[in-house]
Amino acid sequence: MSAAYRFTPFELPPETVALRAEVRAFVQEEAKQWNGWQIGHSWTGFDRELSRKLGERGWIGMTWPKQYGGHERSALERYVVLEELLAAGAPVGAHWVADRQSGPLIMRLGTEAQKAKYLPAICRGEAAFCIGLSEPDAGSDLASLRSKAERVDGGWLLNGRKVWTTYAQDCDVMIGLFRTGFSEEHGKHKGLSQFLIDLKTPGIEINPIKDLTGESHFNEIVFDNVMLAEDALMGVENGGWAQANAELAFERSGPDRYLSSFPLLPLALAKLGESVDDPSIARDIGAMVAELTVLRQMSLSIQNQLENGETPLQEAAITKLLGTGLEQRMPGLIADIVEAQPLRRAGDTLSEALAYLIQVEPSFSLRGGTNEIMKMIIARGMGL
Amino acid sequence: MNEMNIAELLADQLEKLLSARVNAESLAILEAGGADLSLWQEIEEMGVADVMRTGDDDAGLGWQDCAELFRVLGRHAAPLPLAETLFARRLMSQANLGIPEGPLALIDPSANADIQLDGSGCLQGEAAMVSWASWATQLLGLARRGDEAFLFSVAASDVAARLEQCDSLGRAPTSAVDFSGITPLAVVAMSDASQIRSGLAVMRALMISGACDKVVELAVDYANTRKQFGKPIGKFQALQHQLAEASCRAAAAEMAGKYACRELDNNQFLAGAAVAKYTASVAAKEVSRIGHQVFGAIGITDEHELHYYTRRLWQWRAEAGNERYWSEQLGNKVLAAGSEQLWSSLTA
Repeated sequence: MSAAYRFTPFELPPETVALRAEVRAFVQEEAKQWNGWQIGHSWTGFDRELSRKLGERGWIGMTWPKQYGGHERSALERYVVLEELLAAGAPVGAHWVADRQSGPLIMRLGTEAQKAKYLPAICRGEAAFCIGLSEPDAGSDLASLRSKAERVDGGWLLNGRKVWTTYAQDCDVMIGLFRTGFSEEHGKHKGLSQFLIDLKTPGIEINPIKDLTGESHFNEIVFDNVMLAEDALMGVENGGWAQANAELAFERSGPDRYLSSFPLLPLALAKLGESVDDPSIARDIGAMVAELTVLRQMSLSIQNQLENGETPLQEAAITKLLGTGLEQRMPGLIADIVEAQPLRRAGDTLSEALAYLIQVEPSFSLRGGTNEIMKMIIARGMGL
Repeated sequence: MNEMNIAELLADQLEKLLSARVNAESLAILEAGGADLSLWQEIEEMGVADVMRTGDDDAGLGWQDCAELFRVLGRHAAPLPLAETLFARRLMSQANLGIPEGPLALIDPSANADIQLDGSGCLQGEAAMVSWASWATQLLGLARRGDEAFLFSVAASDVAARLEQCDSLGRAPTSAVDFSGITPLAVVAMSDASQIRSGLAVMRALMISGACDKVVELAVDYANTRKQFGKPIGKFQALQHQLAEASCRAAAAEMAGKYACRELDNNQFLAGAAVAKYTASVAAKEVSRIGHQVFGAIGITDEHELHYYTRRLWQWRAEAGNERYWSEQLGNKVLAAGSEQLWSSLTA
């Protein structure tokens, strides 16, 4: 078979049931203070207070060793916590990147000192991380990035410019990818390294970029002779490309790749009531639920493979492509079905959530790698 | 040896047998009405047609165990009613009916089949499209009397004179059958008749996923060999993206079919079947569309093998409820359950 993917149905073990109930009850209580506009933000909503509360309950860094502040629970228990938070549109952005990517990276490749410094703070919900990848001239073609880190006496000297870095203005630490070795002509994937960068280091200038919603989520970050200590290097010098890629199966297959618009659906059902006259509405609802069901199964199947030490990059790309496609279609479709005006008007949760999501859904198939990049990865796997 | 191993072994054996014996030539013979039963005899000797039977001493294999068998059948456009017979023998064994030798036909209740059981125990009504009716020793279907539903079986000899040959899109031997006035061999009341429609839907969804894999595989091979503008057309990004899209659809159909098998094994009939047949029917449409687009004119010729798979994709999409039917069923169920239940049922 040309592309024998591994998508094996996987059922969450029964011991996750009690945990799910616990998280759901917590979220329901917290949700009372979120308006529709905030719910629409979901995992891009930044709320340090919520992250601290989740940290207190042991719901950040769940799978990590206790010696680093973790809770040694299974990846599947973590999955349950994530999907419960996302289904409600909880503003989990202050710890999302650290819990999903940066923490696991530090756990895998960090020095003992780096682990001790960052991991317990992440688990407490007190260390917000961002990822410095894109640059003005390096987007999808990330490996052509030019920001440099030079080895100097006592550490590293950083110069260059990152862009589209989500929440850099509110975060504490960036894991940034910089050119350390070969120049682009020598093979651009070589010679890249990852660094742990305290965003308060002198020489860093963070300029928020206002987006089309009127808010500022991403930033331009200028590095002007930023001096980092020796131990800021993350993992292997010049091994940054492979390190950054290994994170992608995690980044692309989680519930955050198909649930971003989910909170709209229960709101729409509540508005529609128990039956509809127009069968096309039932069909649209049924189609969305069917797609959600399949995506959840795909995502769980990948989760299980990751847990077993595999890296299903093709499967993750497929799940992201299909998942972001659904979460992109949902806002427009739901607005049409319920005949709701996307309107920021206090008290109307559905309209407010629609108003936000209709404006930001174009970003869903950009963040974490564009549709076009996903298709390139899938096609390569198919032998094309 | 545990059950999963038996199922894997059988799927592997079946894959080998069909790879060796089924090709464009044998499919053409089948579609021209000239197929013989020799391949069926080999299948019977393998014992694979009986594995879903249940009984006092034998639990039989479940849907999850057999998912790959159905996918293999779809992948090869198998020219025999093994899928139908597997499920029909399961239904008959569950109903404690004697199981006859030979292949069975299963009447799709969604395909214009409105069959009533009258007061004197006779059937009334016609089924417009019964696949494999002319091969079967018995025909199995669903009849209604008022609000009650009954599983019935009819001897092929009793309806032999009433088969009206017709050409379905898939062109497997297909007939319209008039059951009016026929006394069934057996009638058994069904407490939940939805399991027949759901079982058929999941069976077809799995076969669709197998056939989608085959179409994608053929298209990738072609794209890598056919040259235009001095290079294989598979090097053009426009084609790569379409094939990636087809591959995603095929993967979703496989996942949905396997998920539904678990639901059926847990006696949950509606939601899993709806998810599977909705997803697979959408995939059938998209994968056949992209497959033909990649092949260009050669793909729509009789000579090329592509159509044996794409016609079956269209056929199976229409059978046992298409994506509109199942999305409406699922949507109504979700609406009736209400907003509060949505997330709990998705994560149940």
